[in-house]
Amino acid sequence: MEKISELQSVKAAIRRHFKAGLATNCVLTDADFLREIEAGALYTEENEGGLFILRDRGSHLILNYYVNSLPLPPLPEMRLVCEITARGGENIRRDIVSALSELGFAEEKRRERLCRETGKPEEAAPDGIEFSAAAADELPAIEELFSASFDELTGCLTPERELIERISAGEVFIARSGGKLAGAIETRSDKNFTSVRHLAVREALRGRGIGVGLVRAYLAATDGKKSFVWTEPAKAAAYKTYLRCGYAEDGNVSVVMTKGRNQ
Amino acid sequence: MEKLIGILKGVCPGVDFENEKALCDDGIINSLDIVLIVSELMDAYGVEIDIDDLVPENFNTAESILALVEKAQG
Repeated sequence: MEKISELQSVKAAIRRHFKAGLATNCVLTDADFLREIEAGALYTEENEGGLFILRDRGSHLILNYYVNSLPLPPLPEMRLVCEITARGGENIRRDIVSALSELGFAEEKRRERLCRETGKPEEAAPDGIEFSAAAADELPAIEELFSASFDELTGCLTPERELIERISAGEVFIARSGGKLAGAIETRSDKNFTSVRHLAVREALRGRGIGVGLVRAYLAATDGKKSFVWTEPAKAAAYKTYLRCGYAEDGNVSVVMTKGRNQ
Repeated sequence: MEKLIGILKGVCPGVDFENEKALCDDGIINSLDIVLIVSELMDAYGVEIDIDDLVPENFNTAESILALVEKAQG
């Protein structure tokens, strides 16, 4: 693997593989690359047919690809996760799924994207629960909650440095019960829309409407701007939470694959 | 324009490319869609488009996408 220390290096690598007929799952922007470079977490691996972009998350690497032809570039002997997205399940690049499978990847789960069109949310919230934007000193409790709620390998947990930015930008909201953290929602704002990154409620407090309250609190704070979320239909409680808040499937789907989970 | 709309709908079925004016800004298409659209355009028009041109303002409307192709055609 080559460690990337300049934005131009990764852009030059992408240019080498940016051709007609390309297969990719890379949605990273220049700002995303710069954040990874600053953290010393960006690597590439390539061969004639393709480019792997790898982001180091300590316990594993996140894999993005630009592929023109097989075979795929070589992979490092580390735990890896790769998400292949498409508009509609029939458009998932099965050749890439097969090639990754041959390299030792296994399909772990499927995700679907939900969309909520612009519109003010309902204001109803459960009794005894306070909702507010998160403060900087709540970072450890929020990190602990997210770590306990999402899989380390496939949960897309946000690095601490980025979570601090999101809290500072007012994009993280919390629920408190009896003065303690009951739940949290991490979001991201774009030009005319927002998206949910993580939503979690303490296990002992689930089933009381706190998740719905958090989504509504975030939607109210963004004036009900159009909102997206990637979620797992298999996680029924979270899925129903979003449906109750006005979200609906928009046809975007993904397959999450991992390699070396038990290493 | 008809050829372009056909290509765009092939990559992003269901998107109203004829009428939408903020395809990226409203999240109707995302950066992954942009890469796949450009890949198809390079194939269909035989042009090269640089990755520095893959910015939202070039993809908010079908007209701006056509302008990008025409620029690449010189």
